[in-house]
Amino acid sequence: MDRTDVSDDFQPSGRWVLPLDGSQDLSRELVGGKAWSLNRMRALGIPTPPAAVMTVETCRAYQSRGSLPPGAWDQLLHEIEAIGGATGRRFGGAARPLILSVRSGAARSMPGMMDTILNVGMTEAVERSLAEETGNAAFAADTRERFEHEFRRIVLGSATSVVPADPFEQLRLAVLAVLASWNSARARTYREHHGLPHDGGTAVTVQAMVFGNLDHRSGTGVLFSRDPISGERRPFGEWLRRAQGEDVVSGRHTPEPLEQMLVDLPDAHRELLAIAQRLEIDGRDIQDIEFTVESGRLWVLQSRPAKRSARAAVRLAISLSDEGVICVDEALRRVTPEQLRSLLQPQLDTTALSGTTLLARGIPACAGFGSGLVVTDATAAAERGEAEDVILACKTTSPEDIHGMLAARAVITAIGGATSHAAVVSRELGIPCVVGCGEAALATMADRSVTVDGMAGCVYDGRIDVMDKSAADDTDFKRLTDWLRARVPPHTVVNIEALPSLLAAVQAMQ
Amino acid sequence: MTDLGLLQLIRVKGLTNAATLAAAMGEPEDGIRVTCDRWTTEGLLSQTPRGLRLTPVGRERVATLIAEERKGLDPAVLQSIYAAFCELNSEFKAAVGSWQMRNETTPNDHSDTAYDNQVIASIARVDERMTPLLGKLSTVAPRFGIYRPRLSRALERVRAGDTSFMARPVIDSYHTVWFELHEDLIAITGRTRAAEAAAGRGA
Repeated sequence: MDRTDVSDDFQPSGRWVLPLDGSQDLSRELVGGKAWSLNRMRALGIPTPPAAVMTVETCRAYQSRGSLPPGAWDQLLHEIEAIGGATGRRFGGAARPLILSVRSGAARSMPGMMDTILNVGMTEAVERSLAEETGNAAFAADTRERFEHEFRRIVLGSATSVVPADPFEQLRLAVLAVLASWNSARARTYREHHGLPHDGGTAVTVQAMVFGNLDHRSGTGVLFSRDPISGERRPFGEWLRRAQGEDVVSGRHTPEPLEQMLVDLPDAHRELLAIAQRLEIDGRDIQDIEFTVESGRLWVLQSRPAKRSARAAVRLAISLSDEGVICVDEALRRVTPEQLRSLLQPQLDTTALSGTTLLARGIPACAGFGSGLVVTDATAAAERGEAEDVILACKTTSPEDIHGMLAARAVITAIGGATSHAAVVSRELGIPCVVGCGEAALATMADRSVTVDGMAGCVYDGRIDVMDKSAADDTDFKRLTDWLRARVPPHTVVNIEALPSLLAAVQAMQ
Repeated sequence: MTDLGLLQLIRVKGLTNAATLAAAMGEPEDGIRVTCDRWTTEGLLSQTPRGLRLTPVGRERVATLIAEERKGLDPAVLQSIYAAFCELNSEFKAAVGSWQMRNETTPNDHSDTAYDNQVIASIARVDERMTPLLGKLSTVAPRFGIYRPRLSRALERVRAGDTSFMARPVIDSYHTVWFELHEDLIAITGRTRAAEAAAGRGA
């Protein structure tokens, strides 16, 4: 959009702030992907914490005039009162105070590029009131400390600045910080890198906070509606009792498999699985769902199509079509020729894979498979590598570590990207390599036998065989072959090797 | 050549031999061999079946010598050189990435000469900009004088068609020398590789 369109009076929708209660259809362009999804979930009757959104248009107006357009703030206050009404709480109230999250969200996802501030509205009085209400002073103090730390870092930009004591002033500054983060250096760089325009804008979602760290019947987790690695129809996820989402993301605590939630909170677990299925059918695709349980009550925070392996993409396309969720033509659009090509390479034994644990996931640096004992020191790897299969796993590699790398069946690093020393050298030597796995993952795999899949960027527990099995035996490939045969001219040679190029041709014609 | 120059070279190479050291230093092999034998007697080096390496005592000696070297230098000058290097480093790494991979999943099989020549040209542009930086560095710490000829030799080999001299480890390829230089800069500025990696300045 041309900047000159945005005058002080520019107010195409007439409303800067909208409720996310599922009562009306909203467009992604207007409210961003995150708010759109929350509103859609509400319309489906799925419990999401009450929320409202300040539209992308508000952000554009803010960028052009340098302040909120007239009316936007009052509309926000009005919606916050409604959120209070829905939760039986009041923002800035002395008893049963409402605490808010203030989140960014553009129409096109820009993960981690813009700001989000949690626990807005936390003051000394609110901390006291929350401590009294929950009978848990430590929880209240912890929440306030997290808030002040984050507010100083993101909104005030200084570790020593004073956080305003007025909850409304906290809210105003947080909203402005999120709006301004649209034009932060990292967001601009990201957009330039991904060819996205700068004139879009971010929406601001303001939502009631729910607390996964409230008590022993609380927790947080992530659920994939199916296994995103194998594509099998079984829920797959992580659960961390008595914790907030950022505990999991930051790696401060190691989550447990989702099955543990069945033990801890069976009712919420059952409800969650039912919701996952509903979301999958509505989204017609495997969902990646973030949720929190607060004192036994389940809240869904986010749901989006999950990233998946090549194997899962094929499996999913076929099973969603078999289940009648999508048609065959749509199924053929869900798989890329590159995914088929990678599946025609040798694979890890899928039966063994489904029985093992994924120890780490990082950036794929050099394709190939390697199994062996994890050694965390290059000198030790060089020595032990002469007698047995070793995997060199270290924080990062230096030039002097080259002899350890040469002796290893695969290389894993905790820190570093696709052009790190470990990545460059491994590619040059053809040694399977996964970089940037994180230090916590590195610690868990020390002295274990593992298998590295350098193409997928995965490290599995135990030694897994590589199968050079013919894709002709694969039932999924047989189905794809049949589908494609019905869609190409009769004289076309249809065989397994030709599948990727046939798929490309069929997709081009669709 | 000072003790430190050779000892630090042995340190960054991890496991090496007199011939490799002599080629990198541009000095006769015999002289290097004599020095290494002496250091072995003094307990700084050990001669293993697979090559020469520093002993823990040797590592400590390198650390002490580098700390002494740093004491005599202006930290602000070192910092500005390092910052300039880091800027070139990200360009260099991107170019090496393109050398190895056509895109995220397709390795460069070096069948497309035009493509390879483009990448070599972008490495050469980075290389040109290294010259003033390395010149400044060697006036501050003369032992860094070995890097300019080493980088030039590698680039000449690549231009002459020996693609292994772009990034192959162990041999004095462009990437090997570049990375050893980075390691050396990390040492002389008193940093650690782990901290640099965590800060996103190359792992």
